Amino acid sequence: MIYRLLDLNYLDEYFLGDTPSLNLFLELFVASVDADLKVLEMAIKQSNVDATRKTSHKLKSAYRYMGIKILANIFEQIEQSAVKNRNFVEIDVLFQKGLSINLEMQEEVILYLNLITLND
Amino acid sequence: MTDSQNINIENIAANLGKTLDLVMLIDDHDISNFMAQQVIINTKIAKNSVIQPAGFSAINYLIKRKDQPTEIPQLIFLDLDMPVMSGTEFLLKFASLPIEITSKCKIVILSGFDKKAELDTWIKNGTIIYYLLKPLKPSNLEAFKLSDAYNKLVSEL
Repeated sequence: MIYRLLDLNYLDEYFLGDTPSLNLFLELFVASVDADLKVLEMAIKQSNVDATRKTSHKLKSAYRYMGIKILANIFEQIEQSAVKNRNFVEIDVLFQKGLSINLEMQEEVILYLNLITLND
Repeated sequence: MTDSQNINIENIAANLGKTLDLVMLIDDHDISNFMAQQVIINTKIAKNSVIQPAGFSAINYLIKRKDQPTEIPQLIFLDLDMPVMSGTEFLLKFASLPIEITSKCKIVILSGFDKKAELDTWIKNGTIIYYLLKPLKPSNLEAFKLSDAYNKLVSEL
């Protein structure tokens, strides 16, 4: 199975074939990112510069650990925009793009976890 | 810092097989902690690791274990960008702890930003022995294991 976003080879550098730990990580990742996206959505609605900067920084870091550069770059742009020009219209456009790609990533993770369960 | 990141082959050979007993991760980011702990396990840098999600809880952990030397981590991986108590604020509090604690712990910064210039005091006085950028990758920690800073630490075990 080839995934567009989920890079299992990259993650194996961390987990070295330890599938239970990888699965636990993926479940934690989806839940953690979901919670942070909700916080960021609220921060953007309120044009809260500090919360937008901090939460987008946290999301950028999470996607880097996951090896998903496209999402890490989007949240880095949001972080920088919050610090530099504070343009919340531009930030919201980036956020919606990030949400859409994150949804695709989540679907891939769920598919991977379902396939693993089927093979057990 | 540059000197401490040098590699001395004799030191590495003398310390082969040695490992730290306990390291601590201080970071409010659960994903970062999970992955960093995974890297610590795989690179066998320490037998055990403990996670503290905030600077103040880490300070409380250390104070409570002042008289239990085996429970004091030999190495602390410290994030800088944390709410409530930042990494820099942690370093200030840490410096005021009893010597039974501070003499046993060395600190490695694990941050998404390169803020070495702001940490000059702690680098010069030897509290901070290394600086790692996130995301922590197995190759970064393997490089740390080869550094003089790490080998000096394990040679004292």
